[in-house]
Amino acid sequence: MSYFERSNELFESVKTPYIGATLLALVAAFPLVANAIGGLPFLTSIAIEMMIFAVFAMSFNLLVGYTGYVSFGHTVFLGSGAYMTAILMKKFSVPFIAAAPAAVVGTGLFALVVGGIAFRRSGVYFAMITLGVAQVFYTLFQSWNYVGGDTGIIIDPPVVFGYEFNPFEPMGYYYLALATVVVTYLFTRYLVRSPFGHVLQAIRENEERARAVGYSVRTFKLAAFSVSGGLAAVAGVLYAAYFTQVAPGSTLYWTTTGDGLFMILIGGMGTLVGPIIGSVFVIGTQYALSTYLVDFIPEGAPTLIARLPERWPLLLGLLFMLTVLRFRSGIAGGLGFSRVRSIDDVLARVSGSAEPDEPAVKSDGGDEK
Amino acid sequence: MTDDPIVRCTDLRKDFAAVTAVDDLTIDIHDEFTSVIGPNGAGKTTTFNLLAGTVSPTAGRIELNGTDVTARGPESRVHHGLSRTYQITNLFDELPAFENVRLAVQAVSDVPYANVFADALSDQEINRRTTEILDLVGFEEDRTTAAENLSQGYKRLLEIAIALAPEPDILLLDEPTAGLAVDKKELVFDVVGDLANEYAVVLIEHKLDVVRDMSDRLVVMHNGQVLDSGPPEETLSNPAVQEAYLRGVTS
Repeated sequence: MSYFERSNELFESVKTPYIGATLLALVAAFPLVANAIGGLPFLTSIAIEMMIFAVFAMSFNLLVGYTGYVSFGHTVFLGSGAYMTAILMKKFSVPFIAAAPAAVVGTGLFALVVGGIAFRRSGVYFAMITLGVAQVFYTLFQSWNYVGGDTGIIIDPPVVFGYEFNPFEPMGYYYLALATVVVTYLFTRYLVRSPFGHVLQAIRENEERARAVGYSVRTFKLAAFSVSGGLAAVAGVLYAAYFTQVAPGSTLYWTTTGDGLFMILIGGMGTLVGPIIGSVFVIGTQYALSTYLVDFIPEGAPTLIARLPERWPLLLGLLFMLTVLRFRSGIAGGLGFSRVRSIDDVLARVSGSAEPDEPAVKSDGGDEK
Repeated sequence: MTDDPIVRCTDLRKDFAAVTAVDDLTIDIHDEFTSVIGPNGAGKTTTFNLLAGTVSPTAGRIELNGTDVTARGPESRVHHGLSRTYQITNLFDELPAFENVRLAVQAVSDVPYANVFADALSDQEINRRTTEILDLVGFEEDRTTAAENLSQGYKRLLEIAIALAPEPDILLLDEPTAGLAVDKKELVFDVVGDLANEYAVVLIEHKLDVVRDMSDRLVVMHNGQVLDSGPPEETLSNPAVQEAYLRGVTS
């Protein structure tokens, strides 16, 4: 308990906007640093991938972490966003700036339909229905020649207001992705603190009681599913724009959903920063293990050790287990970020205006100032 | 006492497979303190579930304040003036006590759900009302405590506070003192007694002495049917009631 109290105090400061702004400035300056040490294309491309998946994980977290529904088919919305962008750009010559919002809104509506079906059940049945929907689209797109089958659709890098994005000089993509992460973060932050977001958490905690106190939970769940799907499409749009190829294997296959779940769990389910931390951690570890681990293997090591670099998922799995066992809310939980919003301020304000003092208040590690 | 009942059940029936839990129940509940007694399995909680909309009836009709709500779910019953507590504590476990009640107040308030930039905790009217309700039930524990970490007694009080949030016309209390120590039972009964002055209360309770003292009217259930109903003293002296109730309790 004392450990957690200390880490709470320590990281209370991290939550202040100043530290957040400093972190953001460091991230914004990253390509310049990477450029200076000569690792620009490689390191920056990893960072862009992290940011695309951070957006995906944030969208997924809205559903899993805040509404309490685990979907096994969330990647269908990333795929939907990516495919809609690619199809509009390639087949209908729609400019990226128009294709992107259309893909997000279109996917939001698509999610409404999927949610309408899937929310007829809960728990593992809900998970299986969503998995089924995603796999249907995977198989369909794999064998559909119009969208390029297995190879998918290859598009030109987007041009926005005369600026040509270039995958080989990824500075433009980097700042586009960074801006998207910041906007998505702020959006989800506002959303989960709004009356709507609080109802989602009530559904997560106790859906039956949420209904009993008067909420039409079905409407709230559908809205959450639609917003979550639309946000996943934002990641899909970025994906299409950056990788310039949208194929079923990378955007619609269930393993992408698995990656998203993995990021949420390891980063901190139901916390705002968790998905970002999870994405950075998972993709970072993935690259570190597969690229740099080989330098640390001594020559003549036994086969098991010598082949670890190519079997990096083994190590990642181990790290995952340790994190989840050690911290209930992933890495973010370990850093002192809470799943539950503090109401200390509200109580102080209410009791300040009504009665002078509350009787028998047991302080348990709240911020002492 | 007004003539129009708050709740009117007509030929209400609920079958669970081969078992008839509630059998052609016809009853009016008015603005008074009603207690429902009866042996285990008499259909008391099923009746509550039917009234609250948690389970739907096999046959029959339920009216709330003159509106037929038979086909409507629990979320709608609240808006028609009926609210309930649960025999087994049923809270938003991880959330603070305050937030548990605040959510219930928000559910019956006019809230701009489409505005994602609104802050749920900055609605002072809802916060004030939440505080009022917690004060009313005498919730003196730290209100930032997660519901799951409260003592049994405060969990029961929180149950009642949540049920009070919509300012119901009728309040169903399902064994509000179940599983409590004797001194805590008295605390909760004091609160229930206070509530009875302001709300029409329907109470499921096993303690006969409590029920006799507090109630205006007693409904005795047995095998899913109403065996007798009326003023407590009269009902309890009915030989059929004594036989059914005592046999059920002791068996």
